[in-house]
Amino acid sequence: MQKIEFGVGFLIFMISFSFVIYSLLSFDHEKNESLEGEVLLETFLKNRGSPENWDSSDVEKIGLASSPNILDKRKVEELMKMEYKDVKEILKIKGNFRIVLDSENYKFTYGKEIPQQKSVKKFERPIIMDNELGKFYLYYW
Amino acid sequence: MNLESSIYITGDTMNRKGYARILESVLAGILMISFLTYTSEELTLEKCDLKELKNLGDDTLIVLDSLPYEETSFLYYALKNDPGLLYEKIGECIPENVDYALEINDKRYGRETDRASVTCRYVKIVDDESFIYKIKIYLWYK
Repeated sequence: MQKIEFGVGFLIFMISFSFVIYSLLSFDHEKNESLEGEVLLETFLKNRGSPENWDSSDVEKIGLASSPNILDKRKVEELMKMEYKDVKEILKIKGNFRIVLDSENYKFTYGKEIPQQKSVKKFERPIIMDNELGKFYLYYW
Repeated sequence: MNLESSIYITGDTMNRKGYARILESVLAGILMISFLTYTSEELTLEKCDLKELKNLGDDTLIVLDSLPYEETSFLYYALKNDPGLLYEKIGECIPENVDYALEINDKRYGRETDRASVTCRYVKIVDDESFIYKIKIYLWYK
């Protein structure tokens, strides 16, 4: 009888303990995703990249801005020409991403398909491209 | 009942009580840890959400500041004649799950809220410094 009680108690303890550990780990993962996404957003929207007038053949650092949140359409088009795995390598990121640039007169999308099952962090920011107000969406997972 | 069996029963009862107490303590401990973990996660998430809102507000102001300001431009007209238009324009910059209000020189456009909100400030000095627009936007989740 005592053994059964101890066994039940131990089982309850193990289930609860596993739940707490799992919650902590998944929360950490979510926090990391958010942080990496923010860095990626900063890279795309605030930086010019390197060299300053980079194109798909000589790019060392990727950045789409001519000034913060004002995007250079030529750089966006150069990014579209690049292979996803090369871009990931230059950006030095672990996760995957998809970007969407949207306004009345243009729509650009680049990156991997957004998975259904995974938790995907979404960022949304206003931008100006070609003197037109638009939106920049970044999905990161 | 002889003396030997009486001692055995007392010992057995004590053991059971002891195990029950241990089990109670363990469960109470787990409940407390779970509660603390949950609360701290919630607080951190809320902090992250507000930080994201602040970044969004700052970027909205950057974009507004980048709009051309000449006699024929939208920003010029909106600031001088109809700030309500600027309030509507901001709506194009923010996500659907976010609500906002605009304040220009202490006059508010948009509704009040009792939700946790962030404030982003910006001062636009125009017409050779003869006009100063103190612009604030307040953002909160719907």
